[in-house]
Amino acid sequence: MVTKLKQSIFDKRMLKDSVTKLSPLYLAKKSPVMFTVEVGFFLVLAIGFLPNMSLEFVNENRVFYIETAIILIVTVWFATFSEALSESQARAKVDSLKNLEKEVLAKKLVNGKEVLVKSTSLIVGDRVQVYAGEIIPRDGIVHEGKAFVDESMMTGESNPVFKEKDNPVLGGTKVANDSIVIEITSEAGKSFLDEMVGLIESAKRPKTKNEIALTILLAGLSIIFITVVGTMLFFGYYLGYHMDISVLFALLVALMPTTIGGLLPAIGVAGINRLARDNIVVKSGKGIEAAGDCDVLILDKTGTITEGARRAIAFVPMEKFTENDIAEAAYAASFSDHTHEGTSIIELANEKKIEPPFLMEIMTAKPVEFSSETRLSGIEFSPKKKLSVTQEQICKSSLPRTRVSAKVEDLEESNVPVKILKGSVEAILKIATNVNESELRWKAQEISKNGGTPLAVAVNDEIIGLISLKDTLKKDIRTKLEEVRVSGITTVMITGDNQLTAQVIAKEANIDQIVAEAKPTDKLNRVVEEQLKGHVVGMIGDGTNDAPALAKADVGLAMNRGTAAAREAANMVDLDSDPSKIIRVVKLGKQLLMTRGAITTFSIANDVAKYFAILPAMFMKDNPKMEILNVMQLHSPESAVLSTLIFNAIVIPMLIPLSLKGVKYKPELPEKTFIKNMMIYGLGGVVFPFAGIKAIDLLLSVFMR
Amino acid sequence: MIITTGVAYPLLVTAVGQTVLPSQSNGSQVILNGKVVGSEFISQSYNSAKFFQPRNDSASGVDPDITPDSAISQIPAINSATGIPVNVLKTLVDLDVARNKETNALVFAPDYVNVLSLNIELVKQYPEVYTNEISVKEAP
Amino acid sequence: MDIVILLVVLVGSLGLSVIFGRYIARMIVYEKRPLEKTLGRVENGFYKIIGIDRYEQMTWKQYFLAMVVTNVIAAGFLMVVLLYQNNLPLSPKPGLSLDLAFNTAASFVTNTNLQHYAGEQQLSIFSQMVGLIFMMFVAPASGIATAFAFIRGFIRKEFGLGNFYVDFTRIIITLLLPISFFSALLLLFLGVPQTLDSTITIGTLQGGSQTIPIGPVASLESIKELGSNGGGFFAANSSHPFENPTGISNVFECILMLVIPLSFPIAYGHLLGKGRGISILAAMLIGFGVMLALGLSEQSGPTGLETRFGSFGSTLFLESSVATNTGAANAALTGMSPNAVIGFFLGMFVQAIPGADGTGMMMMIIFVVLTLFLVGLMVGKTPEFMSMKINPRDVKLAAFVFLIHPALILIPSVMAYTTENAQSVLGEHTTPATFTQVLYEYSSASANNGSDYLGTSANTPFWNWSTAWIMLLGRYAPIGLMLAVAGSFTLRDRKEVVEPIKTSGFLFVGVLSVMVFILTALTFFPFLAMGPFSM
Repeated sequence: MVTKLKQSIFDKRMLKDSVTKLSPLYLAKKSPVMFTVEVGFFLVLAIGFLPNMSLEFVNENRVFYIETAIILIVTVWFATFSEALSESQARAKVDSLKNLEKEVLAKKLVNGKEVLVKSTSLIVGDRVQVYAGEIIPRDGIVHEGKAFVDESMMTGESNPVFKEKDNPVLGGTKVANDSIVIEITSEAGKSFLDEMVGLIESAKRPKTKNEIALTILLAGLSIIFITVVGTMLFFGYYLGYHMDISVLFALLVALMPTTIGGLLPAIGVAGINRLARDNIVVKSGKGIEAAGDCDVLILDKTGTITEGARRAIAFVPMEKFTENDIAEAAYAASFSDHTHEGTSIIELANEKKIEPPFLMEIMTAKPVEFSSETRLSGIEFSPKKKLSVTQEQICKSSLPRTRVSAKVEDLEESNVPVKILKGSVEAILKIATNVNESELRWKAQEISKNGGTPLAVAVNDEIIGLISLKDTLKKDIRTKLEEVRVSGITTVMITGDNQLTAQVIAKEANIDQIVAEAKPTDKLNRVVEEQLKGHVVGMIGDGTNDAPALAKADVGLAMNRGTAAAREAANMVDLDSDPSKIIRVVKLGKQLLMTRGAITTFSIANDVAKYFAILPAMFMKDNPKMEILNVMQLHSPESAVLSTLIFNAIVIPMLIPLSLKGVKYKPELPEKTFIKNMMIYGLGGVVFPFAGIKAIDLLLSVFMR
Repeated sequence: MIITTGVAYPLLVTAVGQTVLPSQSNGSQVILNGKVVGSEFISQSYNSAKFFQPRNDSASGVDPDITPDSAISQIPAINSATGIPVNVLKTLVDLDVARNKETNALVFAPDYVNVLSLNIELVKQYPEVYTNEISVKEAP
Repeated sequence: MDIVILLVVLVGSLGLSVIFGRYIARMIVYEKRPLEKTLGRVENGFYKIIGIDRYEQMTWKQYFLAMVVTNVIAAGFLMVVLLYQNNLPLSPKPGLSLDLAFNTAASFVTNTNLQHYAGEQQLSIFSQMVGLIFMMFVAPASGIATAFAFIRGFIRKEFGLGNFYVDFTRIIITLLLPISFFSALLLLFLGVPQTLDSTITIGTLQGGSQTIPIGPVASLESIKELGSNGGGFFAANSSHPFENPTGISNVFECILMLVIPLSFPIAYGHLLGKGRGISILAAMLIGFGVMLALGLSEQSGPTGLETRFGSFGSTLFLESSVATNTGAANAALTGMSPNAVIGFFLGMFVQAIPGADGTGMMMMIIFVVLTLFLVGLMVGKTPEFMSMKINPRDVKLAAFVFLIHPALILIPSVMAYTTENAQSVLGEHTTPATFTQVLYEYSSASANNGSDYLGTSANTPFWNWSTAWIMLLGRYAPIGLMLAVAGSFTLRDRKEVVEPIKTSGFLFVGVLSVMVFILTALTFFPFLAMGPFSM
């Protein structure tokens, strides 16, 4: 962080930016507060050079005016510097991401022939051939072929990702093996990284609603202070005080909310930058702001709350059988099932040190593949040849046999082919009827109640028992969701599971509400429903059918590995495809608002001390009664004015780290946060300048004698 | 609305006031020996040193009252002009203060003296002393 | 003793405001009131006469326009009466000059009641009665009506802002008239005169004769205090014994001034949540408490004060009067201590502790919106009010409302000096005391307060015209802006969720009070230092 900061300080473009931003035209449009300070600079400077402008209101010596003018312009420069600094940091981050998709030669397919072109010349709909080791020129979808793609440079995910027809691919990622034809889906310069660059460049950066509101409030305060100080000139004159224009301008600059006015642009950019550091690409500033307000989060169960891979956690036998029976049957039924679930069943059996005695048969058995019609999988084997009978017999006599192995043997002996199958309770019941159905259903329900998914296992027509599969919770998800809840956000889990399973997981993970047995359209419905109630909804999505909901949600975070449609619809894209990051986005949104609020409060609170510094300086010479206001006992009127202005100026760079990093956010009751921040930035804002101005005054008094 | 609020309303209050509370309605006129001698609430000027004098640096300029302190400070002068004993004057002042206290339900006003009623009390108690002051003016 | 008076005033006005608050709440949402049938019949008669459809809802623009039109007609009528009172019945007096008539009409229609004339000398009984008493109903009824519309904006989506003519009629007939009638009778009983004669000539103790100005004082006095009007029958205002004869009448008038402004937060509480209402009431009382504390921190008088009120009675009355923007005075401002004067300024700067009938409540809500904006930012939430998002337009309007006031005070004050009009009334040499008087004049005009130092001495074309325009701007600009806020809120969706920061409870009251104080102090601190502080 420190080195980064140093680097950017010596960034030439940033320094140049900070100076070009001093242009009055730019400031008048972007920061009325700083514009006023700059007007003050020109005016005081003019008085410094032409002190004869007004004899009535020019009473100080030339050096004082020059000094004041310098402090004023430095104040403005500090503000433009902070903006340029945060812009440069964000730009650096974007550039590093952007380098990946720049200046690639692409093999465009023209009439079936490959033609070498620059990637920037590609248009939507063009098809390009990409071979192993080559970089994908721009975002698109696979049109033809299958390949593993290395997306580590974009997502940090080290395993290459498998892509086949219609899968989205990212510009800048590398094809690891084979070759694919990609159809380009995004315009040149319109990839979402470019959208983000637009947000950073000040000229194009649209202000968010809260920024606009705050700017209006600050402008209002500035106008009030201009009126106050302007009329003071006259009243002071008629009341016989020796008024000085530069001192009045100093008072005006001190009173105006220069601190927040100067740092406001930097805070906004810093938010975008901090998200980029988390590998989240922001496509609109609105999204970040809405994130702070987000009070309903709609989360997919799978992938967000749970690992998304179900594992076997228990074997549940029917009354007639033992755990060993069901474990053996399950082992057999899963032997040729190489899915995650299948392996987890074998692993569980191994853990329990259960292995079926009829291993030979299993190994040579014919696998029954899962089909969408039967929805069953398992193995099937014909009766053995008598050859091995003797061996078998020995085994039989020496080992205690389970009922299942006995059954298998009996079947074999009676020359009946053996089928050991597993599937959902309903699917198995269609083929196996030899079971106490009410017992089966009751046990299946028990599993559901505990958040598991029951799978039934049958040997031919008899159901042996159930396997309980469960999706495990993601690491830390409980604590993360607890934080979310404390911040006053309602979490809604959307899942295809049945009500019971969903409820159990919700309870385990600390989820407030669930939508169970959800259809794809339920997400959009829920988003609209919550928004109608006035909630600000955040959601995560990756599928094409998530796109409408992502577009509708106030904060839509798309997963990078999701479809192009989802990424297009969302206002943020997470390059790491980590759904739980939405929580970080919410936190950051809050921080952003809090930082603005804290610095505004600080800025306004500072005015108290500034009045007490400048008013006595202004009036004490002519009105001894004002002595009471001179609580700080500053060295001289001149040093009082200068130290107030210096304080006012250096507060801006002092607060740059805070603006870039953001005010600390702890998930707690809003009241608590408020009191804490009010103490630090409100009360602190009143007290700190008293000390600061006094300290600067002591320093100055050494030079001023 | 003009008729309701600007005409009917004040006229109704006037009608009720004049029938039920005629004295207050017409300025709380004070009567001594069958003659109106002023309004309880409006101060009048006294050109004789025998009377307690009202103040005239009040907000209304017609403040009918003075503070007990101010009344007591006037006692020596009245005493020398009329010969009425100091302790009697003091008692009369106290009595007037007490009477005003009653008007204000004891607590709703600071102690004060109504100059007109105190002076009327003096005239009532010592008619012989004040014959000149009252008759002189009546002649023309 | 003083503490008893204070308690009676506070308990009395709060007690009554609990009753009237409930009643006002019913009026706002058209619930059944006591005597509904009779009142309804009377009101319907009025609607028929004016020719309005009582069920027609108005947009904020229509509502505002209806209010302005009604006010313009009433002010025009008053101006005609004042200009031509010599041709009108009941003790005719010479007609007023155009500038004075304009100033007076503007003053009374805006609920200010700044008086650049001496009532008992310059106005006929007809002008006082048909002109001023009438206007003393019109002005507060307009203010209360707009506050009704304003509060309706927050009740629920599409509730509608109501119909100005209906509200206006109902407020006069069923709220202001009955209370002022009974109050007038009570004041009569306490010694306030009520006659159609303009003077009485009576004998004196020493046998001389005395001509005393008199008139329908009681009927004017009650609506003057109740309607946060403040324009006295006499130039001496409530210090005149005929307007405020005893300590009891003094206490009663204080209660009358406070009751409607304090009823509003209670009505608000009934409609939008008890805690919220109580919190706003608490914030108002804290502000009022600061004013009182300032006033009581220093002894005032005795010069310029009335004996029967003393320092305490005068301070309590004046602080109540200025706090409610009534502007009635039972003592000369010159007799009040500098601290008491700083208290008056505070009341006029804030305009919401508790402020005038209706408009005080609206002003406080503007402060609430500004406070919530900052609070929201501090906890990382887009600010909300009543579970509705506060958007840039609301902040803009609220900031404008807040901005208008200092501009209307400070800029004309400078003009008064640069054009030498301040000096011509107050002397060539400007002192903190005379500066205070100029600042006070425009603060009073802009806040629609009406108390002033200058009085008849400001009866010059400059002061008449300038204060008249400031009063008009200070009245209609904020009301228009505030109605615009309410108008946009009524169309907005409400959340069914808990507010991130409750708009009730100690924390909120504290923050709101500090916010009101800081914003006001930062704006006006230098002027208080140059003015009353240096006196």
